[in-house]
Amino acid sequence: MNRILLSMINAPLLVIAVILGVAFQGSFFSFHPIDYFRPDFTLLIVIWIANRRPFIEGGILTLIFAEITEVHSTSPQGFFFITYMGAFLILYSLAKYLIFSHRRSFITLAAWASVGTKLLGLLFLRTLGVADRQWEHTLLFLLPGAMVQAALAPLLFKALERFDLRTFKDPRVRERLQDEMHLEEEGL
Amino acid sequence: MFRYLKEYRFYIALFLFILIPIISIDTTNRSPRDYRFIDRVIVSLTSPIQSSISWTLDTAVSIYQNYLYLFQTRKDNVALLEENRKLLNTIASLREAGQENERLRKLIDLKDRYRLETVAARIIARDVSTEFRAIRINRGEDAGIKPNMAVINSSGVIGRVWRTTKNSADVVTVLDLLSAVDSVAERSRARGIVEGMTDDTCQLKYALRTDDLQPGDLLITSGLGGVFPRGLPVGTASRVYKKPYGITQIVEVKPAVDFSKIEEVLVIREFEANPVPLAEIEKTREKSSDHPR
Repeated sequence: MNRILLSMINAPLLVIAVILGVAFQGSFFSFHPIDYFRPDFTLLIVIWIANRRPFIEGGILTLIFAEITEVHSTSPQGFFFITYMGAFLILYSLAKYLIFSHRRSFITLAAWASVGTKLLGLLFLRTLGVADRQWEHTLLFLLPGAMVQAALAPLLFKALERFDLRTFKDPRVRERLQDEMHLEEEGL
Repeated sequence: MFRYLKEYRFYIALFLFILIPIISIDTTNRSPRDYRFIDRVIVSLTSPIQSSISWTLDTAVSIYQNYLYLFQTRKDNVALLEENRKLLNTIASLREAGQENERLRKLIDLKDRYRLETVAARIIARDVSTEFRAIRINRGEDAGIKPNMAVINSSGVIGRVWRTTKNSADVVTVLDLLSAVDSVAERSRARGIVEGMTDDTCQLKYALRTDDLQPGDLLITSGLGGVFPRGLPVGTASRVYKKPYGITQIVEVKPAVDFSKIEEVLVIREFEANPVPLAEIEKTREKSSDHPR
């Protein structure tokens, strides 16, 4: 019972973590010149859930995270929905064919996802016709952004892994739990 | 029915996950928005956190400037430590107070000139994305702030209010991609719209190729649209480039406000359409100093 409850609060806690992360991202990194190294906490969590959550749960969480981030930005409405959902769908498909288990593979993934979402965002802005020369700015931030994401990825992913283990959301724990339940059902 | 839903749940979910972001796109980019109920709940959770982080950082910087600086001095000159500490502390406090006085005096001048009814606010956060350049201030609907109100400081235009909650407001700065300020060149009266471009540069759009614009020209608000009072500095033309073809010219603008240093802003609730001449303000001040209450 306790385990089921803990696994149920995993998603709401993740939403709260995103709210806190976005608040921190907006205020702590608002000072010059550290604003150049502003990370994207939401994207890192989207990467995590694309790899470690079932499709429907991960997709719903991505939509919630996009809404939270959009409230803290003056981006055109739909910007974060498109970029984060795009990232989620691509990373989820990738996770079907590639296994990202090593820390280094997650770092690479975080850096590439940062580059990918920035380019996807630029494409979106150009489609809306609000970014004539935004590509210069995007290119300027492309490398520092990817580096910051890559640097933060191991710390955050380690914390998320621990969090998933404690709340019985980790696939290994879930498998063990299912085995235990199966054995219990058989009276062993 | 349920069997089909269960069987095809992946494809249904995929369809919805693609559809929802697409229908959420709003092409009316520049019109101010209002928060929905759920957005207000989220902002009411985050804005106190942002205020406290901002306060903590301000305090830390202040401690660094007022104390650690003195600590370094002690290392250099042990004999004069006490005296130095007191003196430097006083100087630091006076300098800080002097700078604050200067900033406030400029704000009061501006207020008198345009007979502005304003609300002072502090910046508590900036946009979460590096692509956009909004700021969040610590005053909202409770202080009478509404969407589309102009936000300025003593140097010039900062932006306009985009959306509000009870205790906070989001401001689209002139650097933001969604910003548009109708402006005229003070010298030649050439007209155009200043839009955001990068972190420290704007662009003057729709300025005709035949318009007389030169680097160094001051751009001021035209007063059209009713958001900004007429004559507020928006920025200075930093680069003017005329292509051999086309009907417009490319003009890059350096904003009048240094966005890396702003801390306080003024939100204009009401204003006089035409600015009062500075000489008239000086006269009024002289009169009031001659006849103290």
